[in-house]
Amino acid sequence: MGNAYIPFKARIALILQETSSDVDIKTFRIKPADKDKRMDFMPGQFFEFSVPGVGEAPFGFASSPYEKDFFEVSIKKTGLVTEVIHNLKPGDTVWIRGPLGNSFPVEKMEGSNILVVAGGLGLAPLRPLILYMLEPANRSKYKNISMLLAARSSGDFIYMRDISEWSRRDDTEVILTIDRPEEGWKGKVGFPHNLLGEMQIDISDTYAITCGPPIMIKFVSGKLVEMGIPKSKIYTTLEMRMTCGVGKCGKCNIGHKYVCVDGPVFSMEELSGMPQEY
Amino acid sequence: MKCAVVPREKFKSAVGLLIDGYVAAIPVKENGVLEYKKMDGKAGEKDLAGLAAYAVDCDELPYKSPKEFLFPQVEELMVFDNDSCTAVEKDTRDKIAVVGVKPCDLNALKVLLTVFFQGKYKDDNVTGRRENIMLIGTGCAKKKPGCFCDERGINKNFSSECDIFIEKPVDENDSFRFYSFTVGGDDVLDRLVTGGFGSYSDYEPACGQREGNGCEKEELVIEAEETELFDTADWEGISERCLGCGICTYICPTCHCFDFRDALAGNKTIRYRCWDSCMYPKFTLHASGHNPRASKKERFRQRVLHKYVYVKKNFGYVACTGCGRCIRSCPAGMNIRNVVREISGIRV
Repeated sequence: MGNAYIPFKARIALILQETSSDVDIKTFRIKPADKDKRMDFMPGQFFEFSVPGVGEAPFGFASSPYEKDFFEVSIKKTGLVTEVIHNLKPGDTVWIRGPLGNSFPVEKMEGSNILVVAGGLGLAPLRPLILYMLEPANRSKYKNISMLLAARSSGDFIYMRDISEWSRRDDTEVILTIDRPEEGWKGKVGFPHNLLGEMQIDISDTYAITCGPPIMIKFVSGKLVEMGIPKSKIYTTLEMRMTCGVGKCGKCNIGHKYVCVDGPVFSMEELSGMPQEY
Repeated sequence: MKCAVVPREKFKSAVGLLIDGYVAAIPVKENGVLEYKKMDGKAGEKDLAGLAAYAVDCDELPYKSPKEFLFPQVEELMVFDNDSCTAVEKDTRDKIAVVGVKPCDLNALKVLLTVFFQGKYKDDNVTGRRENIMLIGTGCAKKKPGCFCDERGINKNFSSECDIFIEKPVDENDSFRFYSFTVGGDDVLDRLVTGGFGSYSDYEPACGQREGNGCEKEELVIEAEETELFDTADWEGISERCLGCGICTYICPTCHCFDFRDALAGNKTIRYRCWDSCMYPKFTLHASGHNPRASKKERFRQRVLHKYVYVKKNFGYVACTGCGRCIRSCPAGMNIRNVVREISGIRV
């Protein structure tokens, strides 16, 4: 391979405002400038997004891996790089490198029930996985697909356009929950780990994938283990500060594992054998 | 491997021939500090051969390690303009001969090259520089205060992790021995022998046996699993004195953590790679404010376990060669050898 640090040029094709409550989350549709340079990623992988003069930061892909002309990324305005990204306009040039990291074990998961538990922006890195499994060519490879999607309030859900469609399908079960009651809210109220017991989960044959705030991941995975799902069948994806994304710069390691190359996707079995430093 | 015997009186001119055509990086003492200085032989004013010969003979370890010749403290990685991003070509005009590198540092460069060369991705910027560098190694006669290479399984008298290793004479009547371990080293030795500075010998490296190989001590390693030491050792107490200044990481011959920094230059942006340090709180600080290594306890633990456990697990080597620089330089008297002994349950 060539120099692993050199990004290639791309353009912003579309920008979507994600939530109504919080204007700080936007989804960017990105098209490589050169048609030969595509991001052929698998669900769970990430890329490095460069804004020359400001810096570079890692983000998970958030679109279907079957979209070949573009990909999407959902970004919350949080730091130096994301602030500048949020000020970009359609047509602006950006620089990207990847795909990086490992991916969800989509083949291993075939033939099983799938439970997705996502909180807030934690749905973003799981969206490629959901769209991958719902792809007509793949849907029959998985049994029941259930989703427990949580947000602080009804206005905090990202991908409402997807959620409506997933809810309409008769081959998926979608449950939405918010932290506190709201007038007119038809979904559930409460933290996701408290609602898992109400779901129809075949613990003998289910892969669970969860992502959200660290505290949510901790409680949800704890509850899933308590319910009897083996740790080897519970997956999450981690984030870390990274510079290189290729296992050299020394920032994202948890013990001897590097989140950028050994992750970002880890099973609870792997995580329980690693130091708790994330 | 070849071995050429170089008589004492021809030693200086033989070293001069080794560095001929190279920019020589030679440890030179200035204001009491021994540091590698890059010197262009074409300047012709300095007695480069003399300085290089002195450096080989000198029994001191330079303050900083020679890692910067492979992995510079600051390097231009790429240049962005409006329309392109171009990798900065490494300056290959300069072929550098690094003179008088001690076995601890030669072994450390091996670790550094392995980290950048192996794994899923290869860093050509670092590994590519090796081709333009001639490493001229030499042994240490005495252990310096703080040195513990003997506990790290490194023979202070000899190392083959270089192009040419120069073994000093044991007594006044003896000759120098120049060993070559690479194709580049073989070529130089051929020129040396053809030029009449020495003659080939079938002499095998003494491996320092003449003075004892120096590594008869039990090897200092961490056998325990990482998760075990992570929580059981008293990291809070161990790191209490640490000031978090990071000098240990800058002068360490194996530390290799880095950061990217962008700087505007006219219409262009240059992305630099700069050394970074796991001793600093911002090293792992997320944009969200979360920091997995929030206090010096976590940061010091990272430094020790990265060197002794993580690199070994990933690349097969302990990333500490016992050069003792961090011990000698620490303003607070931290001592990685004693820490490793303490957490391994060895009496300090």
